[in-house]
Amino acid sequence: MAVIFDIERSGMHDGPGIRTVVFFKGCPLRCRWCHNPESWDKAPQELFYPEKCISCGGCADGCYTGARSLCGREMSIDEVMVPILADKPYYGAEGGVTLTGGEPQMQADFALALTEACRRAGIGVAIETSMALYRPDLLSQMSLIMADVKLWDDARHREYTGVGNAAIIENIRKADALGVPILIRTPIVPTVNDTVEEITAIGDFVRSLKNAVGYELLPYHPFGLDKARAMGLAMPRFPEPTKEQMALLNACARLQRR
Amino acid sequence: MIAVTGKELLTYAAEFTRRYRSAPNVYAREADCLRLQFAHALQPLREGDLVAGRNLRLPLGVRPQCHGGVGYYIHEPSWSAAVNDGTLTDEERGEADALFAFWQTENTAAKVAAAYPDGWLDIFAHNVPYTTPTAAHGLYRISGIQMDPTRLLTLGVEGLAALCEEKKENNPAFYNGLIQALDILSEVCLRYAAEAEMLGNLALAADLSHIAHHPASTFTQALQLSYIFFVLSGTWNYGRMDQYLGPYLAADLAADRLTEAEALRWVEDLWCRMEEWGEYFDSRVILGGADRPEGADTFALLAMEATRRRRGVVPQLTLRCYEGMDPRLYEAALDTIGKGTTFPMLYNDRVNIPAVMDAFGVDEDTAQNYVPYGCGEYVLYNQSIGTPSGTVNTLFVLNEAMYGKNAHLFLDAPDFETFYTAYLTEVEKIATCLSLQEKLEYDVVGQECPFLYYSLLFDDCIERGKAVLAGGLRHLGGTVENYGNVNTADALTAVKAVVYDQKLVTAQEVSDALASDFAGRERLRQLLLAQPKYGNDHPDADGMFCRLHRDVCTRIRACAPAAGLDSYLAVLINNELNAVFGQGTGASADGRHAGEYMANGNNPMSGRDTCGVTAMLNSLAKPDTHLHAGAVQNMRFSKAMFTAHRPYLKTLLRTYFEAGGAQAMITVLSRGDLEAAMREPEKYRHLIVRVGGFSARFVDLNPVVQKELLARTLY
Repeated sequence: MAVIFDIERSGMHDGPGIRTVVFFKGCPLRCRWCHNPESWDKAPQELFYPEKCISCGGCADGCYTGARSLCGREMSIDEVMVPILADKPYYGAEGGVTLTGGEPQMQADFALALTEACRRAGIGVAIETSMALYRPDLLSQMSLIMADVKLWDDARHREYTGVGNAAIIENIRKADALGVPILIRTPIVPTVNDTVEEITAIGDFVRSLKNAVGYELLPYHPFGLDKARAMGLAMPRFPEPTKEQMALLNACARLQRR
Repeated sequence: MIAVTGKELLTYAAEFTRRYRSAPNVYAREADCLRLQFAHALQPLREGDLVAGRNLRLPLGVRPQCHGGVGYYIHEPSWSAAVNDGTLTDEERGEADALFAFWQTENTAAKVAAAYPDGWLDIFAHNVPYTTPTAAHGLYRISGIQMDPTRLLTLGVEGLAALCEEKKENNPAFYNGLIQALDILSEVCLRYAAEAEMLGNLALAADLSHIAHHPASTFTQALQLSYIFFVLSGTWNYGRMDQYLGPYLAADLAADRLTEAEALRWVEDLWCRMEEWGEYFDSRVILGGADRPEGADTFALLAMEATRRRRGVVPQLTLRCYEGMDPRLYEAALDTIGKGTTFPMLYNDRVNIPAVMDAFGVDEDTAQNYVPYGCGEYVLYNQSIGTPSGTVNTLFVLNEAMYGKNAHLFLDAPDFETFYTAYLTEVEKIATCLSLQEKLEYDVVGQECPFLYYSLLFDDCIERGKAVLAGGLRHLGGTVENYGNVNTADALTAVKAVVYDQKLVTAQEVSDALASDFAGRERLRQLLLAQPKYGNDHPDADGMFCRLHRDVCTRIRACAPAAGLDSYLAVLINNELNAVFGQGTGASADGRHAGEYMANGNNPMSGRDTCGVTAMLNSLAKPDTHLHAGAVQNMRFSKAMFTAHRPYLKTLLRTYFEAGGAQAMITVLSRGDLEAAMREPEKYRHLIVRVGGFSARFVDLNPVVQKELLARTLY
């Protein structure tokens, strides 16, 4: 069993093709811009959205409006496979399942068993991971590893995400030896890492990997703030990058692509 | 909108009525009346026209379908507007009033209604506004005519007349009527030829003079002859156009008589005539299908190009996709849809042909010739009529059984199955009555109106010597429009779960809450809303919808033999009446408030499909297609799906079709387009959306309909 907090069908932004995206609960990082802060704690937790509350007073008998909703529940492989198998005809040659979170490697045994179930069904599996953990038995089974390098400087990485990046960089290097294609991504968070120098430094690292298939920049968006509020958590709001800024940095990232 | 003065109308109406009263038989009567009608209704050619056939709707006339009437009709609003325009003397007003009074009882729809047995009008309403709270409406029209003009094009007016002459002795009055109808066609062509000559358009004049007598020999002649014929006939649907025009186009292109660019101008002008005529619920042009001659693909590509350039809301371009179709057609279709035209609509022959075989009870060769008309109802090309002459609001019926006049069915039911069966019996009573009403309409109209132009082309009429509705037609079908089925299924899913399975609330509590539109019972409404909904690939919700769909369609289909019809089928096709009927429909157990719109066709209730496009498509592909005559499957995609994500879109559509999806009607939008169009309508005239079985400029729609569209999910 694993604690899963969402299964998104027909994802088109989490790997190639049309994908079913499985969200694992629990993450070792605490990125200040996180768009899924409800994924941090591995245990299921209640979120409260006051704007949906109709003050019916029936909380004890269950909430029907979604004002109080339980985030995360224990699921079996068979349960997770239901939507995956329903989506399978849409995957085509490219698509498949993406493990994400949270950090799927925190529940690696389940992730591995799920990957095996998918393999038996003829479905490829990719992973989105912080690479703060390293489970080569799982990673080596992936069709694609999508790993973030959020900041190049170890101290600043620790300041903004709660952990340093030395282990992450080391894990990515080790994963590079597994022969699995790796896509490196950086969330562009203005005031934190939106500089040519930052992207150039990460880009140089990407260029040093032999299995890197690309380097993608993802613009920060504030979608996590509502969920943070529902958790009773204060999170900062960063500015969103402009199109021009993204174009400049993308040009820089493209120069670094192998 | 009606460009006739009171004086003109009085002169016309007096003569029309005189002809009506004095003709020796119904065939001569129709021909005499039509000749006069076209003299007034057909509009002159204009400078620059390539295609002739502009037409007006007159306040009085004879048409298979016009102004909500059938056969001989009178349209009170436009009649009153004309006779009150101040041009009539008191004496003339008196004459006009006398004529009006005559037609009040003599119009064909009134004759149909007069023949209703006692009790029918307790079951369905007629001639009332669509917002009236009622379970069913009876309609008056012979709609959805899809004729193949090939016989006319290849034999020509004189050739077809000679065929009628040959057979004349079997039924002289009938064949004389047909010959007169052909004479009128010839006269109209010659009249337009003279106008073209006056305008200096000698090529058009020559074409029109030629087709007034002879078979079409070129693409432009074939296009012109078929269109004028359709205008005179009264159909608003234009058949398998690539099939009947393709060979002429191929021959002209091969002989260098015409370039593709020239042909495109003609097609665009034809599209203009259709848009001017403005039948947005009809105007179907069918492309594709496996059995087409040389040149058909070339025409189909031109047709899509014309639609891409014109961006009009008609014709309702339809592409029948089949295995082995030239991939250029599919790519052109996606290009055209991607431009936000909503056309062509994609139909899946692999699913539809076997479905039509079963639903209509016909062989594969016949089913190969299925064509959608109007909002998407299927008929057999040139062989069947299947006009929807009734509507049933299944959600209204459910509400009546939960808190209306039949509330005992819910309140006294010991279990879900008992309630469900009792509900179906109520639907069946209505369907049975509407099927009899449909046959009665055919019979009364058949006695009054031979519909000469239909009888000229529909298979078997000339051979049998019988008019289309008097035994001439090969397959006499009927259909009934279903509204509210998805909401009904969602309501049943919710009731089964919370009342019967989980016993969270009692039937009485639900009934009371619905009766008061959930006043003070918002928590109960939220409980009902929280139950699974159709459109999310959920086994309970989709299972209930498929079950209801099967049970309702089967009961409707079973009405045919007793009614004396060759088929009687449900159509799960809504124009915009799902929103309008919703206004007269009380709160429902799916959590819907009183007066709110209902789901459109077989689509999920707007905005309740929340699990992604693959889940929604899987749901759409589930209901059995073999039991009905068409279902609207609307979906809307963002522009990115047609550009950056086009391979994904192709995978989605291909998989949906492989899973059993029958068709796809696709609107392409950017996020925020509709909201912006409501704020600044003048800037969004270009925005075309698929509503139900028709497309419209969003800014022209009724606000109730706009609201429903706003709630739909954009993928």
